[in-house]
Amino acid sequence: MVSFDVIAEGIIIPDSEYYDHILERVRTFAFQDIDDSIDEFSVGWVSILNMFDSEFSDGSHRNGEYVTLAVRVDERKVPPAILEKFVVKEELRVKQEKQIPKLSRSMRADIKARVATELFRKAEPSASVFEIVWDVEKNVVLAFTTDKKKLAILEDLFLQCFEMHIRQRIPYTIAENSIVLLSLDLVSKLEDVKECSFIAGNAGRA
Amino acid sequence: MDLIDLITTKGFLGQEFLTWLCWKADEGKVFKVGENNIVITFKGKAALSFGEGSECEKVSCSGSREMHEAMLAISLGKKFESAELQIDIGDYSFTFTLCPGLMELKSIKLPKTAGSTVDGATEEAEIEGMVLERIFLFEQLRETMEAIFITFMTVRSNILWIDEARDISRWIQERNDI
Repeated sequence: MVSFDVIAEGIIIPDSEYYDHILERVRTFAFQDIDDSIDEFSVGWVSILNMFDSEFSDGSHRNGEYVTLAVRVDERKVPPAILEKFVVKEELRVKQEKQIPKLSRSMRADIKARVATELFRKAEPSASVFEIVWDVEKNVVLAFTTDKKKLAILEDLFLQCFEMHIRQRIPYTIAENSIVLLSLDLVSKLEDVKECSFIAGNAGRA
Repeated sequence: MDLIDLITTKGFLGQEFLTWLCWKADEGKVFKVGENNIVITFKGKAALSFGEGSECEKVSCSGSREMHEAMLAISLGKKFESAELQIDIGDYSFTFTLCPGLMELKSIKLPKTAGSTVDGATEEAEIEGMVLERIFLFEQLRETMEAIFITFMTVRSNILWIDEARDISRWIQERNDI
């Protein structure tokens, strides 16, 4: 689990109108299936209760004051070894057919493009899903993945969909935004904190 | 500073926090967050490292609750990359792996409660109740860990840290001598 601050411009009033607006945006950026196309990649929102539901007619996008969504990422991939195998196979067939000992660079490029397209068309996209919870009142998002690629996808999707940045809460930023540290006038000292050693004889020193 | 710079230059804060936390846990410290007594236990599995890139040295420890291997690694300059912890918040018990560099919580096991699973629930209100309960537990875990981190930072960012670091170093030495 990783948490993010939602960087909102201005004050958000989380009333029912705001949640309706969120639903409208979620539906605009809902997941689009690519099973019957040759698209390589698709990302969008789905229900946390059903990865095949991108219409949200059951109201699952909202639980209390929380917005609860899942991010679904479908990707068509052809393993490089498989692509290589079929490219070499096709190159041999073309050389035999045309009775030539060697293929030109442009012919090889054409063959590779053609084979790749054909393999992508036949490849079934894999699907991965992870959930997020957005506490609209506290402006915090919890993401239930620690995969860097998925987190980057979430940041982009959130920005496109809701037009707000999300910024990962790391130790330094948690300290920087702490009311407790602020009240003790310690936030200003954070920049000067240096790494220290616990090795005997050097304890406390950088 | 942007986030990447902060991760690069201040990433040590999370690692030092975990070392401090393991020390406090071993000393039997009970934290207080809000109205809850918080007890942290090190579960015996940890990963530590020293250096970066091709010169990075890593060590994984498991099985020994006394953290012998982890203490030896720390005394040689390695820092925590992750550690498996149990946290008791009042009557609730959570286990998870803390990766302190980015404050990531992995492999979280929530406490069993009355309405533990969403699967099998049929009524909409029942499902919503279970989802809300899970959200509450995850939030409680996150907020508690962050509150304890702030307790650490209160010491870390002032003059008290020198004595605290010496005590931690002494503890590491004593653990290595056992």
